[in-house]
Amino acid sequence: MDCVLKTYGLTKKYKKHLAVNDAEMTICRGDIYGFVGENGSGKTTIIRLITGLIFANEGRFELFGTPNDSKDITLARRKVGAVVESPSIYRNMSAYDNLKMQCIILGLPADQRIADVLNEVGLGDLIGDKKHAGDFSLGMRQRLGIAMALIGEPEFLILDEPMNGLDPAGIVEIRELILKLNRERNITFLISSHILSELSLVATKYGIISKGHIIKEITAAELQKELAKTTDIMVDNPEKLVDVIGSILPAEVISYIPDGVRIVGEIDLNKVLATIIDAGIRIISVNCHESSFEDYYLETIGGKKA
Amino acid sequence: MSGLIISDYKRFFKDKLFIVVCILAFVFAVMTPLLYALLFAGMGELDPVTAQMLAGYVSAKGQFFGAFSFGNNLGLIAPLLIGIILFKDFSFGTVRNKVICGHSRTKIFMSIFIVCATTLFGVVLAHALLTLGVSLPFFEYQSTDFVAADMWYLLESLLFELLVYVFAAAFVSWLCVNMKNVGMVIVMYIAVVFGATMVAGILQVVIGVMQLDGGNEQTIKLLEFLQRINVFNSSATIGLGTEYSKEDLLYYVLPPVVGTVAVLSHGVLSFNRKDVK
Repeated sequence: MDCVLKTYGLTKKYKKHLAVNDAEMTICRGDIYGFVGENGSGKTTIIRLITGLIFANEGRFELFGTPNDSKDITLARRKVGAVVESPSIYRNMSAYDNLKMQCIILGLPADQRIADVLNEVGLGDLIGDKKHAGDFSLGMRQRLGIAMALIGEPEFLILDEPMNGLDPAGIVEIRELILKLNRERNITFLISSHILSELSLVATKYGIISKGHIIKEITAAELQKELAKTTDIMVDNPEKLVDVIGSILPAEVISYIPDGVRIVGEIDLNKVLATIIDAGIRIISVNCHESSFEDYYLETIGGKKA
Repeated sequence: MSGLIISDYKRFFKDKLFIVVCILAFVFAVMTPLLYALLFAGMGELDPVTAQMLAGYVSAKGQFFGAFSFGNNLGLIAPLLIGIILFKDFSFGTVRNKVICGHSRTKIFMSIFIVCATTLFGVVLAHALLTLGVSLPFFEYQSTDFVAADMWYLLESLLFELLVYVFAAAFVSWLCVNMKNVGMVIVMYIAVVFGATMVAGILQVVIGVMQLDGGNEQTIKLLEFLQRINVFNSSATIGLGTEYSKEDLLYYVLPPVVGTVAVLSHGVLSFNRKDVK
């Protein structure tokens, strides 16, 4: 699959503090890469490294196959749009003028595209409005920042905490915009966030970072399997239960626990329980459990499971 | 790079501080010659010694080149305000947009420098021309007739002033990429410019005293050399004579050119290694 970003042992130190430690990540074309980690885990530092705002002490990366130390990296960067931390906007200019400035910087004609982008991010009302961006609400500034990143028609869009400051309706709009851009224009996304529930609605791949190190990369499909529903059935006669359950369910979904079995995945619980009762086994307890992304995340970073 | 330069000009002219710079340039240009005219009118007939001392101020030419003088009036304020306007790219974080979309840091820095140099010299030149215009009804251009050689001297002087302001622009651009916040830009700028002009003033007195007391000739020469390579001080003496010696040409050209190249080189190198916030 076509690689948009690949990092090799990226490391960034600030004096004695190791902000990013040997980070390895791979983002392929069309991915919506959810970058998950606690505050101060190094998400923004990695984004800054990728966007060229800061320099790595060790390691390297490739952007659209171009090594970061190559002269052509500037050409590869032309395909990138980013909102890093707070939106980078001219506070003493209107939304339209901000986008016009970005067009000038990118060497693009400031045409109908500005109006289209403003409409796309839900700021269509500001076309022709002279209100300065400094007077915008946090959510409006966030949208304008996304519009600034979008105006150059990037192939790879990096959004650092894009839901910050947005109201619930705004969150939905930005989520739908991300999905639309990904679906219709095949834009690849790297989205950092600590709102896991929000991220899980859009991401197709996750990178979990803790203490500067990317400890796991997992696709959404793989994660779904990891988060599968489990049912623990405790009985008075576990030996007999093994035979009974084994006759109605495939072996790979069954694992044995003290005084019972654990069944992974969706099952017809009524049918299973009826079979057990018919076999003359007394059921002591039935415990259904579905792990959440939060549980999985906490377990992965070594925190306590909810 | 043209996109960077155009965007820097655009944000410069859209900034309200630019209007403040223009107002100050206008006020200083009108007030300074008027105040001198009022002052001299009130002083009546001057004795020859005082007349000699004030010769530079009682001519429109003196007023014109005085308007370029660094470390006072617009010469002090304009570079500072222009530096604050240009630093907004860093305080707003908009410089990140330029780095992210692939512009080299050298080009970003040079764009800031070009815009700083042209706007700074443009504003100060406009201020000086207005000063000349306001001065002419009150003072003669100079005490002697204006001849072709004076035009050549005027052009040479303007070139030297340009070199001084290009150096100042390089220094302001250097501050923009190396200081953490606008407060540091202001403090560093004032400290360096005041420091340089104060040192020049002190050296002037020390050299005068040593010449009167018959001090060590080598020491006097060294102090004079230090005095003349002080770029921020040189604008105070440019244009006040009638012609330049070969030594003058050397001192008015080399220090600002070498200083500009040195400051720009360091600025480019440091910005290329610097983490952008």
